[in-house]
Amino acid sequence: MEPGELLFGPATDPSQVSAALSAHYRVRVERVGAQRWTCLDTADWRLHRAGMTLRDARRARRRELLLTVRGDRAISAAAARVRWPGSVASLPSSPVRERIERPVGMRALLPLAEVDVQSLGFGLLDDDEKTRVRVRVDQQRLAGDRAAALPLRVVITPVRGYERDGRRCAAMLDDAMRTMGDVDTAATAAMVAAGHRPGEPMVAALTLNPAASARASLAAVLRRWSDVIDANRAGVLDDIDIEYLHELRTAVRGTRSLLSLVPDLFSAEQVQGAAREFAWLGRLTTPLRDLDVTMRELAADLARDPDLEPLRAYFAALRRRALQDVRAGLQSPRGVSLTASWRVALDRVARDEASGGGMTGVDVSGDDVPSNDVSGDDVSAHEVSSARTRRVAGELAIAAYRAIVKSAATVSAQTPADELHRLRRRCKRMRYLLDGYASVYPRESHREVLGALTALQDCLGDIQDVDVRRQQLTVAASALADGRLARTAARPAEALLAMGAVRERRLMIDGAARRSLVKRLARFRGAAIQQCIGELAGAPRSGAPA
Amino acid sequence: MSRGPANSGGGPVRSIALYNIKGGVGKTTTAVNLAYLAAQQGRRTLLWDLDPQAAATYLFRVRAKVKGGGERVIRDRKPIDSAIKGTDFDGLDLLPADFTYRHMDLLLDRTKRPTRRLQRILAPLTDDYDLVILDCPPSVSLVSENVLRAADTVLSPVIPTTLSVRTFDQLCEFVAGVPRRPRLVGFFSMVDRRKTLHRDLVARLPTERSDLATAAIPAQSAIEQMAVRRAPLPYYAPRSVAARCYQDLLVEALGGQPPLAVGA
Repeated sequence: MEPGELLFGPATDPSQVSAALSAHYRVRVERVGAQRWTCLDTADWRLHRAGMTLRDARRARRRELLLTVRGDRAISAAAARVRWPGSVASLPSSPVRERIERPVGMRALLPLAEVDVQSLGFGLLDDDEKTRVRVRVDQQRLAGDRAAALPLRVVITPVRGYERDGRRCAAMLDDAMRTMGDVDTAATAAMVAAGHRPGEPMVAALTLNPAASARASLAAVLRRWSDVIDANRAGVLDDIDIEYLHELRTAVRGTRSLLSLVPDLFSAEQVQGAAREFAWLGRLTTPLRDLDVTMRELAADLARDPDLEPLRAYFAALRRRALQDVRAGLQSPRGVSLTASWRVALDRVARDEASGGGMTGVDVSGDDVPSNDVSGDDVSAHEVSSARTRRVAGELAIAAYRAIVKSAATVSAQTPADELHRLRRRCKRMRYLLDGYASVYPRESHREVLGALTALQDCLGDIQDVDVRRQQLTVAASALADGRLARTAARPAEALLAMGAVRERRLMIDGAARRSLVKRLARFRGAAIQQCIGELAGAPRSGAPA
Repeated sequence: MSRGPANSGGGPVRSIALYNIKGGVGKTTTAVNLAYLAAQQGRRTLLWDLDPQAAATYLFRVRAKVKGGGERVIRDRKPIDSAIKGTDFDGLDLLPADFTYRHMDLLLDRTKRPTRRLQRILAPLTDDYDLVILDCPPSVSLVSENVLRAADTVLSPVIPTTLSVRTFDQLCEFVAGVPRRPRLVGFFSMVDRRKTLHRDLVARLPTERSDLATAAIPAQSAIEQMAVRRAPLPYYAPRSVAARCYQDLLVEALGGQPPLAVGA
């Protein structure tokens, strides 16, 4: 519940509250009014998880954002001309924005439920007719396709210095009427009624049975990633925020990675076909993702230095084109059918495994399937048809770890970026493995390995991002130099100098990341992580992989 | 509903003291009305009723009682938050009077650095309020010295008579001797336009002296009604001449600062 909030069943009449209050207090009716609330949160419930409730409240011509943080009183801010979905950056500066900036981050705020509210306000008075407690009764109704009555909301707000009176009032109402005990907040109830699952991920986490067949588990992991791709597709097409694309690409890469680690789920050519299709999806979305990261990283530079405006405009134009390409690809027959046929194939594997069958013939690809890197690297194929999930997951973890260690053998702070990129890809493979099979690994060891791996990935990510940014800036500088950016650059020399300053700052990040890399690699290769890897593979606590 | 973190204008908390050596000159009504108007404009405002007669406390219908009395307020090292009461008006809180405040001089005298005690008591409230208004008892005492040290601006009501102007001059001399001298602004109060002397002084003195506000508060029965209605004048008579005069006075008291936007 929000502070002072009591919820009663949807059938409760507001007059019952009024009658209960009048029986115990001198009551003054203070206000009556109608308003519309839009309940807001991110796609991954960042506000909900931070204990925050955010509403866009409209009453006549007045519009404000109301934020409640667990345990605190609501704060408000003007919200004129804000549109949903919208980013925090689009909100005017206010205490509300300050409070939600960190938890929301780069995600968009989505309008998740529209609620029509009829409010009635009471003041509870003492003998001097001083208001000691304010009570607001909100009769709520969900608007839209799922229109329905929502719980009656009563908010008790003691005037400062009269908190004891507020507690007494709440206890009295709780005694006199039956509060709902199973609802978190009124906003949560509204979002549930609107068909959402507050706090739940867009696609439910997977719990694998360690004793299940490895093939069935692999199909389940891939099926979940397929669902993640589908769940994020609309957000990418509508360009709601950049995380939709990030999530989609993570699932695509995870799929490709597992297919390469465990290539005998289907026949070789079927796997190659699927891998080819997901590789296409990856390539289709890479330019847009690179530009998303670029614009996010450069946001502070761009805001600080107006001479960078031509660069912003340049990247924004590139991004618009990249988004058009992604939209065209995702909406093409190839893009539409990709996950649909893949889902059918995976479901068939799951059915076959459930009925004790073997390999299934499915067509997730076209006929002209070129070979790709599915079977690459130093991870040998596993016969997963008969093996159990736990054993295969353990063996894969060891193989992935060895591949990283081998690849990192000659790495130093001076290693070229493209060589580090290969190491990064191996790290990602292990990461997808640890994510996909998280539920079958020992929790502590999994956490340790994941922590060390993430630290390593962060470093490698920074180095690669700098490399990509450097290339982009070089291309942009060339465009500026040969006059292609002349239309947008009123002061090309200043723009060029500003771009140089940005490049310098990126190089400093590169230097710092490289210094950290050596330490983080040492930790990753160290005895403690080796022991954890052994435990992932089922070794006793003291054991370590050879 | 709170309006978010106070003092959001970014500047320091302003403190205004309503002070005069004489009683019955309109200190309390002015303090109450200015506090109400400031809160209406979006300033989180605290009114501290330092007068044991508790007239401001009465006007806001709050019990003139502070747990532990003046002793607790002056000597306790704990912050005074818990003694603060919300009024019926958004953004306006009251630190009520207590009859034991009549001994405040004695209590202050027993503390270290007795002339800075109120300043120290108010310091923790800087994050909570944009404006603190002190309604002071009529006297020249240790309380007065504390008030003059704690306030950024001292507003002093002056009835437009020769003797009252003389008293204001005495106050000016007194304030000039205070180490951290506040801005002293006199304003004409209880102005009766039927009296020639009143009209003459109100028209002439503010043009001759920079320490007198141009805003003047008329003697009106609407102001006297505050004690009957137990509410600020601009609440029940927002368009009255007197309400406009208080508004003008607030602007001058705040040095011309514009109102804060509500929700800012």
